[in-house]
Amino acid sequence: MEQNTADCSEPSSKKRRKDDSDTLNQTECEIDHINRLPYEIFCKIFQHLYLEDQLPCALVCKRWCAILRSEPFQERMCFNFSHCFGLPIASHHLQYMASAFHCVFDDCGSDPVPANQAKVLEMVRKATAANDEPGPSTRPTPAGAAGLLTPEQLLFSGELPLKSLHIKASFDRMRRFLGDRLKNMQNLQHLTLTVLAEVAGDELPEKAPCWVIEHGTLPSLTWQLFANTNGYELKLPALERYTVDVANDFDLHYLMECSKQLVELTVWFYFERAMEQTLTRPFPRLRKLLMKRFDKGPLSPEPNTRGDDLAADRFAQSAPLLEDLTIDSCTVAYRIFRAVCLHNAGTLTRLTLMDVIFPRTLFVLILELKNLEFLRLEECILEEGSRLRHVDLPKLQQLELINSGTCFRLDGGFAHVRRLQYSMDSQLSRLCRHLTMLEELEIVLRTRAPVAEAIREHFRSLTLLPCLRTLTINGMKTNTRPWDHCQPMPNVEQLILRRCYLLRGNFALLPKLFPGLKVLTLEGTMIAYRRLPDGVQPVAFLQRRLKGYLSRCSVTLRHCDAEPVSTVLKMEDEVRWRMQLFEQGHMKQIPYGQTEGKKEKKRRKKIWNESMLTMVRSACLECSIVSTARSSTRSGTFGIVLLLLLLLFGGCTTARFEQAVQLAVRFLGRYAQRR
Amino acid sequence: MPTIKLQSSDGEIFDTDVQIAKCSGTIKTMLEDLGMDEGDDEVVPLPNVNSAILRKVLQWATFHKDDPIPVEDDDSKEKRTDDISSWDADFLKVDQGTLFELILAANYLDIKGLLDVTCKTVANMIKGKTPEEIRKTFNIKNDFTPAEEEQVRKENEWCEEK
Repeated sequence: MEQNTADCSEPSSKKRRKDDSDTLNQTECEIDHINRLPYEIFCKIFQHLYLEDQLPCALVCKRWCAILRSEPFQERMCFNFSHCFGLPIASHHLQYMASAFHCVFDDCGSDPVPANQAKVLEMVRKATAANDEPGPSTRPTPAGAAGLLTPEQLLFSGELPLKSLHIKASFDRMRRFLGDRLKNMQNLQHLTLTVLAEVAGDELPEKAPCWVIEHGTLPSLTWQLFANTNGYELKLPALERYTVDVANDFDLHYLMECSKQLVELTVWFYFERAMEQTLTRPFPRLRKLLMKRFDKGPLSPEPNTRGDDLAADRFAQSAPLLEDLTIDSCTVAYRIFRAVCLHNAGTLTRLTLMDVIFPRTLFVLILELKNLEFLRLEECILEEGSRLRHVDLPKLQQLELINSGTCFRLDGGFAHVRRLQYSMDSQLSRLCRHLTMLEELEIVLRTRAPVAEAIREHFRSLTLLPCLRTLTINGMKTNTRPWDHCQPMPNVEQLILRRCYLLRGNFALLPKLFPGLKVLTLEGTMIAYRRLPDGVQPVAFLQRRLKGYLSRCSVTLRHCDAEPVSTVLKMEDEVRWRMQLFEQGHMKQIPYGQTEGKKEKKRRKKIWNESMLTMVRSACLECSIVSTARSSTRSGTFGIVLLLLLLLFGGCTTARFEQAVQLAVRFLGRYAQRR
Repeated sequence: MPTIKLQSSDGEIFDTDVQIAKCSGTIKTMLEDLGMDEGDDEVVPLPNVNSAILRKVLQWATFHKDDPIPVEDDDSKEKRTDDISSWDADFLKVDQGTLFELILAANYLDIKGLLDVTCKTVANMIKGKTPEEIRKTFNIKNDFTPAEEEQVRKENEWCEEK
């Protein structure tokens, strides 16, 4: 560091440079340097603050207050507004709403818990009492009489600069309070509607009139459904980006109706027929499509008749511009995949496939996609036959292969790939020999198969990659110790350890292994230490130590934590750690209320089940790893506990039950084998 | 390595590696658009940056010259300020005058990485403080009248009670 101390106290502004330098140190303390900064820099600084930190700033001085309330600054901020439709807004709140460009409106009248609703209403009553307002009710109040506006009157008056609006309310309240006023908002660019469960006072779905959602220029609409929609009609001639949960026939009908104008479509299907019917529509402008089946059924081979293929062919032909396709475990995945490979090969540049079991004969069609630049396979399995070799996708730059090792052999066919994310398996040596252009490599160590052996055998091959600049290791544990099997890698300039468990003792190894390292980033990583000096803050202390080893390197820690070795060893055994948290009640936080609407309840239940299933599934994985490591007695008793859990939590729905039994059988089979 | 000469406001000349100087969007544009060739002995004047600050900026740029180019996403709602690297944190342990001067220089020279990290540092200085503490930290004079202050406070209150 050539920086000397004189530099630090150097006068800063040019004008003051000409002043007598003796008086400088004195004036230094009295000048508010910060107010020399221009407006746009203040905006940048304030943007890093949450509202609770912005509020005190407004009280600091007039200039700060003015900046925080200025239009360009507000335009960068998203304003969260929690209030009730139909209730008047106190006057001093108006200016916040009136100047917001991005607004999230949370209708507290739609809170499904009556106690909360009452509390909120009480709060609003207090807030408006100062203005001598009549007491609130859930019915619309003729507030105009007192000179006060209700949120809907203000929002849809047509005078606001609002560009994006996100409304969270029950469907019937949206219909009643938004009604046909939406078209007044001329500046609106994006609308998000979060449909919450119905509340007291809402019309019954059968009786509710149809809501016409009408806007002349709105290009982007997102639905988030936590409850069913009632009848509605879309009149949005400019709509291009559409995100929708297809849960009933209204949703399906309007998705099909607007298919011709869509450019981007994200769709979650709740029922089978909707998928089939959507495929019959033409999408002449569509470039980006993400489709997902909400409730993943059992992964059974799907019927694939000639008629089905024709429907998919027609779809692919009627979406001639499709560039970006994501299919997540749909039952129509085969058909779409086949049709797209045959008909959209010219345009498709990005493809993501998740949770699909492919017959080899079908999967080879991927070779037709000559323009593919990005490919991600997650949990995809190639049934029957060996993996594809010498894959020739000449434009492929980025490949992500997560637990899908059975799909491709990573050989010379991928020689031009520059970025690879890959879950560890025995292919590492081969890919190091062949993927010579690789610049960024992420190795995910959390995989289905045991990894310790593969690391021992293959990690030294990493030195073969001549262009490798960025290496990411994801999911390393303290006993994985890839360091012991590596050769120094002078080319690597950036090392990222993501969700790892790192021993403090390993710090000393890093500079030897990565002599050319310039940037080290630890993300979500747990550092294990044996002893710490008294009274130090562990993470900051360890960061300093790490920096001590890597003096010429920039060290960044994000969401990292430090614990004594003994705790970390417990945490590493993720299953048991989660079990422990579960027993302590940490896992019960996912709300599971009783007053929610049926659908939301179902959805939440599903989330809850899924989280349980993931836990149990990973438990099974861990167990199979544990049993390979021959600590069999413990894993045996553990397995039985797990089996019980599986039946208890996995068996909430029939589909889950089947999956649970499958998993249990698989696990027991493995266990028996080991013994 | 080709070098160019940068001249600070007080006339000092810095011989700098072109690659490092190009961290600055402003200098990069000058070199590329105004056809200043690397071979030329011409001096690039930087009238808004004095020598002490320019030295610091170059020190920062030298260290970060191999960083990946930051992604351009201005409307990211990211508010994280805890991801300042240790080197940067040490580098920015300077008095406020220098810190704000660095911000101004980063802004003028269009060095996104330096601007980000300095702004985050200032945001960290503001976080969790009361208005009075903020004023004290930055030597700001309270120019509100009591009535005005009360008005702002009242407007804030409603946000807080959410």
